[in-house]
Amino acid sequence: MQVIAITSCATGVAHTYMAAEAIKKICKEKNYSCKVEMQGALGLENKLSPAEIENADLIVFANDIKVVKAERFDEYKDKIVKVKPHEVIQNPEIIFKNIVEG
Amino acid sequence: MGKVLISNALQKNAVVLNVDSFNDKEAVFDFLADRLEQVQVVKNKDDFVAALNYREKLGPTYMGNFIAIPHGKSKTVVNPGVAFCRCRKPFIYKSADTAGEVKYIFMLAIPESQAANDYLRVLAALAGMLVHQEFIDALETIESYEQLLLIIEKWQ
Repeated sequence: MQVIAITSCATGVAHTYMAAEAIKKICKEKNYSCKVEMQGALGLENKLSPAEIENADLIVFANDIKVVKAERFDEYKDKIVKVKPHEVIQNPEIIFKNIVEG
Repeated sequence: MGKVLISNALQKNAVVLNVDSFNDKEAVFDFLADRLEQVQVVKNKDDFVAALNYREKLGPTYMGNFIAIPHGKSKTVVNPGVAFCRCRKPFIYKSADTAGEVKYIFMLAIPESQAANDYLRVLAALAGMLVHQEFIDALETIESYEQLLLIIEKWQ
């Protein structure tokens, strides 16, 4: 499974990077490929390409502020799961809540 | 991030490893904000506590796993910096609509201007480490500021 995610938060320093790490960690444990775009105080880092967005099986929005350039995902709304950054940090499994395994 | 940068952002006098516990979140805010003022990361402790409390209204800084990462962004912050405190006994940390037991507190001070990106990168990297159980386990074993710097470097 290919997972992509966008993380951001109010201050742009703590939750953005903790949530990114939490998502990468759970995907690694499950042997899923994963790329996380961070929209934090350091700017837009690790930007997702159109191909990566198109090929993703799951798109995680972990934000408590507006996603930058959200129109990139307009065609793939059915693949998006929206969570709060603090939720994914405390319970990373939450990103798979809409996925039926097997 | 280099060693110089870690020790600049996380200064020795802003690291306290053997506090018994705190009564509540307000007590730990006061204690660590005072340390950040002492090491001249913030100019005015009260202004910084106000910034911390403002951030609390936006959402929880309790992160589970005995960790809290209160953070404030304010003009009173001179340079991005971190204070760390480890408690012997956990206390109940209430934050936004959540509450939980906390033993490890990383308090981040973020300036209004985004000029000091190298420091911010240190803070961001530190935040990322906190989701790893092995890092938390290591926090429990360290006995000095120098050992804290070593485990942070190891995790980069």
